Amino acid sequence: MKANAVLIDSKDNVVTVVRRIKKGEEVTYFYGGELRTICSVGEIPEWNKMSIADLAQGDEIIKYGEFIGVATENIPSGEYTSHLNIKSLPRNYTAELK
Amino acid sequence: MTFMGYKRPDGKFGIRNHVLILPTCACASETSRVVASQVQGAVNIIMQAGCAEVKGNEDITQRVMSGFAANPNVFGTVIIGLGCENVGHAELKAKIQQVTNKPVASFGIQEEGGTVKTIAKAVAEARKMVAEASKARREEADISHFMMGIECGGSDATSGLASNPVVGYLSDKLVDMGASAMMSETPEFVGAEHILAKRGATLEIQNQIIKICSDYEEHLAGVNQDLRTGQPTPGNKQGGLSTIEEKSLGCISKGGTRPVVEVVKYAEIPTQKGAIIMDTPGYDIASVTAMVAGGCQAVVFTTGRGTPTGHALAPVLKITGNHTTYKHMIDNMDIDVSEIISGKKSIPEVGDMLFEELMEVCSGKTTKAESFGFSDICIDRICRYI
Repeated sequence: MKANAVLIDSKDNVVTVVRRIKKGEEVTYFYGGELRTICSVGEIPEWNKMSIADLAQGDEIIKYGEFIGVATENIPSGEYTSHLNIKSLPRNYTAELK
Repeated sequence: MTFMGYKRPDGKFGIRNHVLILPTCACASETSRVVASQVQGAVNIIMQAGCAEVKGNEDITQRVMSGFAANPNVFGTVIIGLGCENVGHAELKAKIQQVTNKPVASFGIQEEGGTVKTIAKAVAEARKMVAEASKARREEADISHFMMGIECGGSDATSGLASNPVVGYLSDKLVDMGASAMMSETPEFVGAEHILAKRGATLEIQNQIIKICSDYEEHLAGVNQDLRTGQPTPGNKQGGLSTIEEKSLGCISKGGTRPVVEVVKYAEIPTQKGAIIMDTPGYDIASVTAMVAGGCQAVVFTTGRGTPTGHALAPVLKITGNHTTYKHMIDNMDIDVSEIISGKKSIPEVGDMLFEELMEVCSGKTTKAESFGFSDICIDRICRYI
């Protein structure tokens, strides 16, 4: 079976779909060498993200193994994850300076 | 490794051989356009700035203007001024002569007595310069004389998966050979600046990388603005980039992994060779403008959504990891790197092909944007005109 989504880092809780996914369609991605499948709960446009874990409001969204935002509402596994349900946070530059 | 370039009297090597018709301000832009239209081999740029500027904006404008004239792709410059702008033609000429000993001539519209008289003199001068330029021949130049500008625009989620990482590979390859590679777009470091900072060659440079991000946000906050209102752009969001953190994490991979040896100001010419960071806006046109002024002879430009942009002085090579965009906008796209995502090809395989293509462009092969004669320009501002 061919993957239709990309998991960039094993710590990620979202995948990037490589084509438009219809509601209820199986989304398949490689986790290391293992092929995993999750059913989408909503339509996902090409190159957009789908959650692969149940996320609560305020949870961190991880892509590239890094923080990309927080959930602004509960996001169930298989949900379209976008600017409509995640948001950026202010930086703490002072803490980053050495 | 070498490329075939035009040797300039200041010791640099160009990959193009333009005569630049350079307006000092908006009021001289149209006259400059007419002059360039009369001389095959001359190119003009449109200048929106140059007048009614506070000192901070004037400094930026002047760095761009003298940087364009000093860009190795320029054989010589004909300046057209008005006469009452911030920095007049004679003064700009003197500034350019401080950074390069290439040919430069200048005229003022008020001084000459109007557009027609200015055009007559400037066309004659430009023709003379083009005739001289046409005698130049390409010669072998060491790759250390080459500086690539790295830009992204109209990004989507494919940018972080394919086009940016492969350009990062290309950047590392060039730096390892002794060339320079410049990455810019400070707002598109935000959210990934802690990772980018680790590339700083010294602790000071690491802190500088954090500081340009912090200063950028502070500057915007000073006028009660937040970059997150415009970053990511609507097109980025449609393409699957939801937050600035996500966009930046994809963006910084285009700069590769080699130590950053210098952080320069907007449109500043670096003093070091290797991986350079320039502090520019994420607005791609304003960033390309600054990197060309900083001396980049070519710009490698990654995109997901597709863009036609080009620069008058430097070839802009478009790379996309979005196969649909490549096919849909074939007029504007140079290279398709989508096989990295489908797994058919590796990043090094595609990166080596990209390097060969870039070397061909350096030696004269025209890019899509160049064949259209596109000449986009935008100069960054620190505040309103006055």
